Amino acid sequence: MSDQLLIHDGKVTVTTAEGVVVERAESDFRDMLRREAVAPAQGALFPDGLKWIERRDGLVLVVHESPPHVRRLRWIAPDSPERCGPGTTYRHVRLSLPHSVIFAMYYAHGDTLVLSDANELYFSNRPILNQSDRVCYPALLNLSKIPGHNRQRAWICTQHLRRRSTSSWTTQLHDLWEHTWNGAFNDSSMKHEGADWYHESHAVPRLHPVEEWDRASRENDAFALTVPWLPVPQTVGEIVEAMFAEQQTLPMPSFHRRHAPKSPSLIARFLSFAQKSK
Amino acid sequence: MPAETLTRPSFVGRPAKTDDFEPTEHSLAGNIGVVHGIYTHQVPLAGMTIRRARAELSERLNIAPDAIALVDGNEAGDDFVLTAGQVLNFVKDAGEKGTSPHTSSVR
Repeated sequence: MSDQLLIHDGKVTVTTAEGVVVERAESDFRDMLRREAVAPAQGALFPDGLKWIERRDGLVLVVHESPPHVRRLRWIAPDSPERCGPGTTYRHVRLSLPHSVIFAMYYAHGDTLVLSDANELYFSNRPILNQSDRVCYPALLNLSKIPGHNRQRAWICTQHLRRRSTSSWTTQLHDLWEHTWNGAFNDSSMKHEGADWYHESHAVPRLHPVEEWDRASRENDAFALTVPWLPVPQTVGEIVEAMFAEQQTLPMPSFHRRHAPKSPSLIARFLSFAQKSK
Repeated sequence: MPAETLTRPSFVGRPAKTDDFEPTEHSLAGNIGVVHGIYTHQVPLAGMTIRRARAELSERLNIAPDAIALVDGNEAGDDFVLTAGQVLNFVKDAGEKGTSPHTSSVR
């Protein structure tokens, strides 16, 4: 006989294949499900700009939006002797940016969240308000064009993001944000993944070379909100669905394999919960 | 029935006057947008110097002492006076992407 779970008359009874019987109040079962549905926050409250948080099967996806502003970035110099790595030279550019939306995927381990490598960033000329809203591809170096499930992703390269898995999920999100915007921009994605969304956006007016974008930003701080960025065919909700689906099927880098949850069965999870809460 | 008294809120969204508070005709009151990573705040810092603003924000936003102040994307010195509507960032370079950190130079 396989494991069985019976809900009856306000009680939940689990009978394992080995004959062990565990009985708890139905409210305990509901409590477990409620805790599973809510992402472990480790005491941190939602930061400004948090748009969406969704938990499924040991994964937590966070969608965060930053407001439009003008930002100084370090951008690879036109005469840099290297495309990335040692010897690469940079100069500062001052760029008008639209709303930027980060999709950050975490693994849930008990009461902690660990940031994965599967994080994406998109632009929008308007704040996102609904799951049916659409975003645009970010015309930035190091935002790699990576194929996903029937879509093209704007993947954030986090190879050298210093991870602090003991940090709260908000601190990890902050570190990802800082790495994205304050890490120097170079041709690493072109070299390693073959494409980035800055080069893919070559037909978008006034972005190339980057000095032209800088010039347009000096003429108008809100220049970015007038740019016809390349549209993403999927809605925000469809991107979220795709990111969860891709976690189950796409090949995973070694970091993912070390941290990916094993998804125990409902009965196994309830037995564990009952053991901890008795 | 007793008359109801309505009072105006006294807070005017303005920092207290200090030695570093340097009001001008156009910047006496108002909010500054502070974008610090995932945190975005509207803070009544107009009229303050960068030095004073840094002191006000450093602890609550955990700003590194050597972070560079940028106002609307332009580097601003300690004596720069903030004007309402500007956006203030404190930036500390975070290595580079796709390669080992601290291996290249900015001109």
